[in-house]
Amino acid sequence: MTRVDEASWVELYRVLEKPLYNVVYRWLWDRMESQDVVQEAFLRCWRARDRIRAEGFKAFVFRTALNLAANRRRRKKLWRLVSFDSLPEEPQDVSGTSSVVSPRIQRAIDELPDRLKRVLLLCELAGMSYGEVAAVTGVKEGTVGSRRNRALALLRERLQPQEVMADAERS
Amino acid sequence: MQNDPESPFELLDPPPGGVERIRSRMAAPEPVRGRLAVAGAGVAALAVLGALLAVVFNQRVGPDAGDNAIVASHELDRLLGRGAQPVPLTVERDGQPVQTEELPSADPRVRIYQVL
Repeated sequence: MTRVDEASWVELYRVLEKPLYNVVYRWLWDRMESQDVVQEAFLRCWRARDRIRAEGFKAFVFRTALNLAANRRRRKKLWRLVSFDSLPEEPQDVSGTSSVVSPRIQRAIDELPDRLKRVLLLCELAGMSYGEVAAVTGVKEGTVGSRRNRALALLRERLQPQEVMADAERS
Repeated sequence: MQNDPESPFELLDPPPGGVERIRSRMAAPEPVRGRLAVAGAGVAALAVLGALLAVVFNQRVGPDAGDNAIVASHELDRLLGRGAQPVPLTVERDGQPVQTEELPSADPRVRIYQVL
């Protein structure tokens, strides 16, 4: 029942920044915006620190970051729709730094249903247990497992034809 | 799978300076934007409530309601046994006011006017 004290806060950020960033980045595909979302999620937790217990902190900050990322993505999509923007459908990293994830992978991840994507990214990029993912997403552990398996299968399915074609070209 | 650059789950490094940035943002006073937003929402809610009340009020105190109020006052006078209070008579013909003259009446409850 320990509260997250102020002295530990920066240290918590240091520990959680990378997994949080990686999860959010797969939502927004923009390095600076992803870091901004991570910071915003942390700041919200910081401002609500009197109400957050250490036990629930990780789930809280991940849930906040995921919701912020999903909102931003939705807004961007809406804006693109309203402004009749001719930008490509898939978001791209335009931060000026190298786009380290190939568009093919971006597309494959983006095409996953949100509920599957959340579970998959939390398991694979944040290294969370099923129990931790369940706390973030609000579903049962068994559901987390089945969603992760389903997401992996879909991802494999979407990435495979390219690999098969590449292999065919090599031979 | 995580060290493969073509892996969907390759762990990327966040842009540098995040720790310093969060430290300074935490040290900064909380922006009033949130509180202003709450205040703004409150004002907006009050405005909507006011508009709704105005609509309801206008519906209840429209011309009909005004007539009802007059009728009610006469009715009150009648119930209390008081005589009706005389009111100045105005007569119009084709939108123009016309002069009138009160003529004597044998019945105090009846007033007779002549249009001039």
